[in-house]
Amino acid sequence: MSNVLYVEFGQTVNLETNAKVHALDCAVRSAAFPWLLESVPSYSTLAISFDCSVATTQEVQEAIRRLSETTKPGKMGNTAATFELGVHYGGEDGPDLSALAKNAGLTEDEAVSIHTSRTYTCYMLGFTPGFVYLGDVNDRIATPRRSTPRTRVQEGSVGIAGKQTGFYGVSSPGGWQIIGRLVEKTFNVSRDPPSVIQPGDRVRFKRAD
Amino acid sequence: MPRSGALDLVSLAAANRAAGNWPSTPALEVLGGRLFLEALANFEVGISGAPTMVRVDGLQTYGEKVYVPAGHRLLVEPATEFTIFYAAFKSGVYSDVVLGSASTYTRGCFGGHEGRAIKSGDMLFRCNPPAQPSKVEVGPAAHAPDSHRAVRGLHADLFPPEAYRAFFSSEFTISPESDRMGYRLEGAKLQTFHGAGTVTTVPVIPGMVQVPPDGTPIVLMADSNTTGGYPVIALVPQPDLSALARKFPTGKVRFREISNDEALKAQASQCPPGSS
Repeated sequence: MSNVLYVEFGQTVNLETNAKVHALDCAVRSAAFPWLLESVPSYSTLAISFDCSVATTQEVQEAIRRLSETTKPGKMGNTAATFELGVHYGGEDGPDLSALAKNAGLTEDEAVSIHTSRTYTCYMLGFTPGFVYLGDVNDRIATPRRSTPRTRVQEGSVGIAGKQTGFYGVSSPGGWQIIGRLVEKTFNVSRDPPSVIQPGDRVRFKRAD
Repeated sequence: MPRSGALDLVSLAAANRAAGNWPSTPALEVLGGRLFLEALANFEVGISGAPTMVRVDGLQTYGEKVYVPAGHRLLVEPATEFTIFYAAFKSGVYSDVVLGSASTYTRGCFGGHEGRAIKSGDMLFRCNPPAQPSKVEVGPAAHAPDSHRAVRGLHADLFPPEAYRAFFSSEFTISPESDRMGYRLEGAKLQTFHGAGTVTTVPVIPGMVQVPPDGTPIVLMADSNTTGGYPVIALVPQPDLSALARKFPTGKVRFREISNDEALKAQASQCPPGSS
């Protein structure tokens, strides 16, 4: 049976902190601990799932502490790739674009223009298969999640939640503000790795007709 | 990638045990329906989960293990308002193994039975016994307890005492909108301090109870999101999570608080001695 230990690197979302999370994640996987079940990186937290019949929480904490002393974070995006992804914005593909733009005092075109004008860095994968978390959006279009998640967001949907932007690899419930949909699939379970976009990669969106 | 697999690990193990299999041998999970099979060859099947009525050729049979000779028909249907059960065939049911798992992940359309639910006309095959058992909790036979143990969650400091009082004293009802990703709980609404709606996205696991800004708690289940931005108020350990799963689709749910140590002991007691 398993227990989960959370290693926290900070409270704010930034690339420097995120780089430390990924560095420790890599180190944990390479160390081949007998108690390790899973290591899951996120913005500023690394969740380590371990077999508690093999080691106690204290033993795992101690091993992680020792490992983190010798782990040096690389700069995120050093060897990363840059991707340009086509997006159909608004309408049925982006049901929240209209309200998001209005609340921000923008036209839909202006909001799209702001979204496509930045190069984002992938902080992490998570949520559902192929879901990619990117940051950070321009403050003018940063918008909180919906208070009640939708029961269905279609695969490829591009959204905004707070200062994060990202997209869904499969259809699922979801709470993000959906502003468009990707033209191409970015997730294939048979591919290695299944997600085209990996943490550290850079992404730009481009308006598709 | 979510863990996927059975919502009710305890009943999966019980059905497999009845069939003479390892606890995590691939089996059928039936959620909200009934199972009607025609045997093209003799088969034995173990059945567990919420109470069911089992008939072979229209005649009711009793007991966890059923023998169905070739040419005969098996019907398994829920006997109460709870509509989740497991049918485990001796040696296991043939499944696509993707990323090391025989589970069917319907959202991604991969794994298990061609990545989809079984439908009328499908043929199912037995497979050879798996080479070695994988890790899974094993526990006592199915029953519907009055309350489920839960320990204060990852974001405990974001919830005021009133929220915890409400969580540990209310009776919730599982919403019909629930599914394998999460069971939504209708009833008391829970509020964080200062109405803090979201948190920095962190990894989450099945059993965690998330609270979106509308205050409706969601118990994360086998197909749940692997990371989330809603505050986590509590964690339901096994076997209590499996027992909660067994109350699909509209069962009543109450929680009682336990400490972290008690939660670990509850999980530890699930593994038979000597197993990994």
